[in-house]
Amino acid sequence: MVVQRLVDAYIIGLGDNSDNSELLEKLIDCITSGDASLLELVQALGSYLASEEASRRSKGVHVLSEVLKGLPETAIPIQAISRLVQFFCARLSDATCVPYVLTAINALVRLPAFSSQYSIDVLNALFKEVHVQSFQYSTRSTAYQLLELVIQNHPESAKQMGDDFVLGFAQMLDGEKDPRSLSVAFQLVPKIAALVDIKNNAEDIFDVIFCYFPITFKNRDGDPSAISAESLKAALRSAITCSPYFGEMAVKPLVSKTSATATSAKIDAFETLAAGTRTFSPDVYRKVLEPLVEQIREDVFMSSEEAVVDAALETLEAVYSIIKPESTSSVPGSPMDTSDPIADTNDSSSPLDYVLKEAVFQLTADEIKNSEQVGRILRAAARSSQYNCSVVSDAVIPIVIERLDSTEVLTVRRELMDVLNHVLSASCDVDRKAECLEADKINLLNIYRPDSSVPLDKEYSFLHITRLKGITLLVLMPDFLSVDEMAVALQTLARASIERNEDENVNKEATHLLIQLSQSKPEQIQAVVLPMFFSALRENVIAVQRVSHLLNALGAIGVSASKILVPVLNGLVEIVTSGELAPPHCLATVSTIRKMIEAIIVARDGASMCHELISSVVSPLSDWVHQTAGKSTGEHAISLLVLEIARTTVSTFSNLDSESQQQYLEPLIARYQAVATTAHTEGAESGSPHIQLLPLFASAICSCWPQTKLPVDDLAVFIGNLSAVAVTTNSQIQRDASFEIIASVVNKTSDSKQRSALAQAALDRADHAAEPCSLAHVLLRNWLARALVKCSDKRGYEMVSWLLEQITSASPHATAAAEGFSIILGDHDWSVTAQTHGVIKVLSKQRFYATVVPQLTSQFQVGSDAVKTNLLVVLTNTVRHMPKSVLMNGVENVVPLLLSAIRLTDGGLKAASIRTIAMVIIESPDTVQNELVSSIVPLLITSLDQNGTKNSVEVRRTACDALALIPEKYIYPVVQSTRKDVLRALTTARDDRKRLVRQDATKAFNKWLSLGDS
Amino acid sequence: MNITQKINDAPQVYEVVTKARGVLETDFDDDVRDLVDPEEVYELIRNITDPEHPLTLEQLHVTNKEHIYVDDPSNHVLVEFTPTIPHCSMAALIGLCIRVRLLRSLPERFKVDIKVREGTHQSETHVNKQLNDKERVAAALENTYLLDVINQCLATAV
Repeated sequence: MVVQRLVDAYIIGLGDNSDNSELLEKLIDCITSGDASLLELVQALGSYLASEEASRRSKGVHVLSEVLKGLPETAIPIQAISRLVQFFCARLSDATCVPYVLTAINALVRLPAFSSQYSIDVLNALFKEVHVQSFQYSTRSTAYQLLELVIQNHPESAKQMGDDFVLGFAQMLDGEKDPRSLSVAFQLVPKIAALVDIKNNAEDIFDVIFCYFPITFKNRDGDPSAISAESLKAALRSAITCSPYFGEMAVKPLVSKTSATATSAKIDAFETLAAGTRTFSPDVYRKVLEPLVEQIREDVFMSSEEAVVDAALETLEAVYSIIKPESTSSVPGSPMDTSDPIADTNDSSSPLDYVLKEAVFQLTADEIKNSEQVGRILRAAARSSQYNCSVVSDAVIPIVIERLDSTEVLTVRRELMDVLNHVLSASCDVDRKAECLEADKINLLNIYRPDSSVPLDKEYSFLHITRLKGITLLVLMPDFLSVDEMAVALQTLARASIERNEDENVNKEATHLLIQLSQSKPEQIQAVVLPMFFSALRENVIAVQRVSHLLNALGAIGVSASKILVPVLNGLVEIVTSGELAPPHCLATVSTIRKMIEAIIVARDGASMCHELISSVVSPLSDWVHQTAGKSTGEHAISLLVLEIARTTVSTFSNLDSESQQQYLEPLIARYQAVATTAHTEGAESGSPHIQLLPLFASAICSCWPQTKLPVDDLAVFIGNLSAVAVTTNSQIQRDASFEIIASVVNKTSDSKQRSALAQAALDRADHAAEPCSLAHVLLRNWLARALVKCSDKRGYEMVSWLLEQITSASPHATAAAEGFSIILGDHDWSVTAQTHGVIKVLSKQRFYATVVPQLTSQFQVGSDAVKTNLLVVLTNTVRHMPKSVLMNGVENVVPLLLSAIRLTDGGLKAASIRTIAMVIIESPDTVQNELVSSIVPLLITSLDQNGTKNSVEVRRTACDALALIPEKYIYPVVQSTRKDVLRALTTARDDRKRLVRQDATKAFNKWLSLGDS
Repeated sequence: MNITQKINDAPQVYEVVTKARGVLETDFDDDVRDLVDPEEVYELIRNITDPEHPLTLEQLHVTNKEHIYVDDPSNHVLVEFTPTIPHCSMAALIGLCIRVRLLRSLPERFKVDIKVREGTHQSETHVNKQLNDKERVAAALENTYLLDVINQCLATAV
């Protein structure tokens, strides 16, 4: 009774188009829980299912199909399946019920008890009774889904049906227009072809699918069908090329489609032809080879679109790769055509003739045209197989060599060499040397031998580059060059890279080719090329520009191949440590080493290489600089070198795990601890060498993980000693290194109490060691503030308050305290940075901004001019390191201060303030609109003045940039009143003594000039 | 002037090889005065668009760094340009574009001469005269249509 009531309600709901999901759920629950059986449901539906009225019948089938779809497998009795299948097969002839019948059958096919015989019955009924194309999309989709399910779950039934299945599918698909259905149907074709022998019905099925070629489809935005033009194209392509039976029918029309005017159709036809080579018989291609090659040639020569050319050449390669040789080439004039063992003198035609005849004609003509295209076609044909490569090489290379022997015209020589390079590159691609190459080896070597009669100037650089490419190909050719010959070839390339050419493209190309070779011939490069680079580098007299070129080339070669990396690095380290380089070159070399290490650590699994890099690069460099420090080299040069080595240390050391770091730290501490904790005082010799090396010590300690235990007895004592040294030393290097270590250690201490204790120890020892409130004390607090603010420790803000107090109380070190704010937030190479595992809490900058800026604003109202200036310095230093998102929040309060900063500060700070104002103009122009004409523009105009000392080049440039922004961001009426003044000021700035300012002023001038034009 | 019908339909287009000067050490030293040099002038005019084609004067080799002569102390600049074909009726317009660009960019102290490169145009003298006659230039710039065309050509040069 319950079921009957539910069914009746459901049927009424269907009539009203209301939501029946609740009723459906109840029906399904009822049957699943066993309260009612499927039979009862059918009985309840009886009057509907057997009704004379089509709509009642369809509603009945609808309910049954929905329930079957929702029921779990176990709720459908096995014996019921047979009855249901019979019922539904019979109902397939009832057009109004078909959509629901198909849904129900799909639900049944999934059941394990659904046998192959049922599948056959269902499919027979489907193919016989249902004209699928007369139904709407959803029904057609269910029908295709049914086929897919049968193929997936009961492939044997499809096999058993054989031709009927194929024919039924072809009829079903015939006339399909919906791309979604087509996509599914196309995907079914290869599955059917794999399952059933489609020989008898190949034509039927081919006709049904090929009529869609070339398929185009424009996906509408937001279309949920989620099919793309590309996927549809690929599905059709795989359908067309899925069976060898389609070959005969497909290839000819495809070839004719390659002459289509639409680029996409042309490319599609080429790609489908290439895809067909995997399944179609070679014979079908052989029949159309001549027109196909003709079309490909036309496209390669004439097409302006690279995609067409690529598709055409790939097709050529694919087709030739399957056409088996029946005979060899018999190109007239080719000396090799009779010596080939496979030669068949009776049949003078070869598939490659279509390519070769035209190429030979072009190559023997007085004027060689389209050498690049001829070369590319030859290359595509040659790389199709090793045999074809031999045939092409045998036919072309002797002709090119002969022609090269007889011509002196450099442009012709270049074009011939270009063709030769393409053919040789095919040999490298198929990894087999053509036989003719051995015979013509001497000639080939002569062709590529550097010709001293050709000047090394720009006009001939193409010839040189072509020659270098040829040499590279000879090196890459398998088993071609002897060891000595290869060495000579590599030397030629290396010389081209090292020696100064008028056209630096030759150098670049040679370097590029060496980089390519270093991947396949690392041993030879190491043996021949690297020594040449190293000896060139050792020539102390060479110009700085050349050194940088050599180092860049070496760096690129080293980074490109892992086998060469270590030799390059070792070689560079050896050159540096040998002391043969002039100091600037030495610095450049160490800098290259650092860049190489940074590049490989980013690119590869850095941690595994770091041990090796430390022992082979960082340690020798550190030892060397330790020995040489204080000797003849200048103090400045050494400090720069130390800085570079320290950066290298950071790159490697920070990537070690904490245990390895600890191991390396022990000798380092032993070496430097005494130096670091002994203050350098007035009495000592100035610029003590060991003190100069302290950045090495600091960088290593700062690169440690927070969990790495420093090998010192008592951390607080160590920090205290460093602090005491920092405030008493005369050496700036020692002071900075001490502060860096203190900040890093304090920042990485995870326990807040311990952190606080360490900070306090540093402060106490500093106060003890020297009179409080010296410059060093101020700096110590700046560094401690950096360490603590970044990890959001509240003590950091105590330091900040102390510093602000120094500023407002106009203490002697107020300026230093203000400038020190750049330490708190600014970048640093190693101390408290993300790279060196510093503890940097999210939103720490935001918190700093929110805390400090209100204090600054309130102090600014009451402070004297000197205090104001320092507060503005603090503000600028705060603002310049803030993310834009933070800064724009409440920016209107800061703008007046920034304007005062522009008025009162100079140099970098003034430029930073102008930049911030410019940023506000970009991001939120309305905020400053009121001050624009009255304050901002006049201030910017004054900042353009080159005569005062306050406006550095940087200030003048940023002022020009800011002025250039205004016409873009404000409408004419807003700025119209000030236009004349700005143009006058910018006209003066166009005659600035610095070129960069002139450039920026010109840009701004032209923007203001065109203001209001549109 | 009918600019829909092109005087030179298929001009030779050259690869642009000009590299930026890069930042020099002295660039930020305020004590060193950077004199205006041909490279700086070339930088100002090389990106002017040709009136006929969507290509720059540099791409068409109409302007060339070697054909610019600057004498900063004497406040004199001479720019020679090469029309793409000898009968190019756009020569005067190209010259005018260069003049206007330099007028709006170079310091006012400079006297600028614009000339067609010798032997590259059939009415060379006539064009040169036109380009270096202050009154004629001023009159041309009062023509709003012409000024629009010039501004379009200069839009890429900023």
